[in-house]
Order: sequence, then structure tokens, then C-alpha cells
Amino acid sequence: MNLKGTLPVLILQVLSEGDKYGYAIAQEITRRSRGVLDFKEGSLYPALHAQEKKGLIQSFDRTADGRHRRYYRLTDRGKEALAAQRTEWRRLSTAITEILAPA
Amino acid sequence: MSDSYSCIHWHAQFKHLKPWTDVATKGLSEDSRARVLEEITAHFEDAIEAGMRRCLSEEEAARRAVEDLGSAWRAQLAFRRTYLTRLQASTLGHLVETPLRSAPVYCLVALSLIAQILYLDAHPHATAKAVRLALLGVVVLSGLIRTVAVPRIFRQGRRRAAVVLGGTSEFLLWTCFIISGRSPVERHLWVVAFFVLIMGLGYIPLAIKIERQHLEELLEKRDHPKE
Repeated sequence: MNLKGTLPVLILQVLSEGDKYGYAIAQEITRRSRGVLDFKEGSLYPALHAQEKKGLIQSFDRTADGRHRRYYRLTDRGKEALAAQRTEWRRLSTAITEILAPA
Repeated sequence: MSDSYSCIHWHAQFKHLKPWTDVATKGLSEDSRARVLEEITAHFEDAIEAGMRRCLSEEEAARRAVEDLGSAWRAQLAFRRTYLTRLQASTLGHLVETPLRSAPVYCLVALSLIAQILYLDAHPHATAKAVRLALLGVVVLSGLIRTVAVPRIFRQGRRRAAVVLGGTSEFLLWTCFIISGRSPVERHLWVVAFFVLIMGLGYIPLAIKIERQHLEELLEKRDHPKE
């Protein structure tokens, strides 16, 4: 299933649970969606960089297990954006569920 | 990390990843390209290792890792929306770092207008002379804006204003040049063409991206004041 435009909010949600690097974010989204979402990993980085430019997330370098990686963390502005998008998503989800429910 | 490990990954990168990154990062500025390559390469190595842990051969793991990245063309479009392209980075460099390089062009247009004014002086063309005097004033003013004011405004942090002002001064320069020596119909067409080329395709997209970077810096300072 291709839910166009949802990747940014998924990224914010994953990062709200801790700092992560690109591959870990991709794996977490794939794991949680259980393969339902049609998610191409190459689209993750443009989305990450766009969120960073908007100031919703911030990147920093960290070396772990001998590997140098660029990690991402949620900013205060990102937390606010995530809260707003969660509310919006719940409203939308409720509306669609009600429409699709058998009359 | 052993040498053989690095060698295997280097081979896989060259064979499988490079064609993807060549397309995805095409046209990006050097800085942006380096950043993207760094992250995609790290991602690719992680994906190969994960694949090999699932008992795939290195070749198969590399092939799947690139397949999972998806369309390189789609990634290229997305990167271009976010990062400065090579042309935009070069325009920005000329605008801010080497503003005096454009001074000779402004001087040449100003000299051609002065020559026309001196030539017209010998004939009864008062209106035409007044128009060229006005154009000369505009060229000198836009030259000063382009070479002196724009870099200062940029350094003050008002990046969008600096880029728009730089683009406007360049647009005015070529407009004055065209107006000084064409028929009225041609003038209008050239002015529109220059506006689309210079502002629409060049400076306005750059101004939009620049402002995003400016905002990012401000937010960074707000979120992490000690850094």
C-alpha cells in the first residue's frame, strides 16, 4: 500500500522514541508496518533531509561499534509538528473508518 | 574492520551502488553530493551486512540492497527539491563570495550607454537621451547593489532578500541593455524572456531554498542554544 506523503510523520514518530541513523529508521518503519506499506529506502534520505531543512529534526555524527554514522534527533519544533500530525491523522482515520463501516 | 571486508564492500559499491548514486545525485552541488553519498553508502553497507546475516551471498545482498533503495530518478527529483544544485551553488558563490567579478559587465553596459548619450548629444534626440540617462542611472545603481549591498545583506542573515535583490539587479542590467537598442516590440519580448530566465528559473528557486536553510539555523540555535 502506498500512502503518499506519510513518510515524514513516520520518521518523526520513529525519532520521537530515540536518536537513530538512516538504516535503523528504515528498518523500524518496515518492521512496524509488517510489509504493508510500500516503502522504498531511497526515498527515506530526501525525506530526512527535507525534515532537517524545515528544522523538525537535527543531524549529528556519532561513531558506534567502529562505524561512523549520521544520526538524527527530533527538535522541539519537530515534537510540536508530530503532535499536530498525530491529531490530524486520528481525525482522518476515524472519518475513513466510519465511512467504510457497514451501514 | 579488516582489509578483506573493506575490499568486498568496495567491489559491491562499485558494481551495484555506484550506478544508483550516479543518477540520484546527478546535478547536485559537491557538498550536497558528498553528504548524500556518505549516508547512502553507510546504508548500503548496513543492508549488505543484514543480508549476509540472513545467509545471502554478498552479491545477492548487494543486489537486494540497491533494489530496496527504489527508483534513483525519483530520489534525484526529491534531492533536487531539498539541496542546492550545482548551478544554484555556483550562482550563490558569484553572488556572495566573488561579487566583484560581475562589475566589468555592469561597467561595459554603462559605457555603452554613455557612448550612446554622447552620440545622441550631437542630434536633436532629447527624449532618447533622457531615457538613456535614466537607464545609465539604473545600471549604476543595480551595479552597486549587486557588488556592495547584496554580499552585506547576505552576511547579515537576510539570505532570501539578498538573493532576490541580486537577481533583480542582474535582471535590471540586461533589461537596460536591451531597452537601449531595440524596437518597442522586441524590448517587451526580451524583458519578459529575461525575467523568466533570470528570476523564474534562476534566482527565485534559489531564494526559496536559501530561506529554508536560514530558518534551519535559527531553529537549531533555539533548540540547542549551548551548541
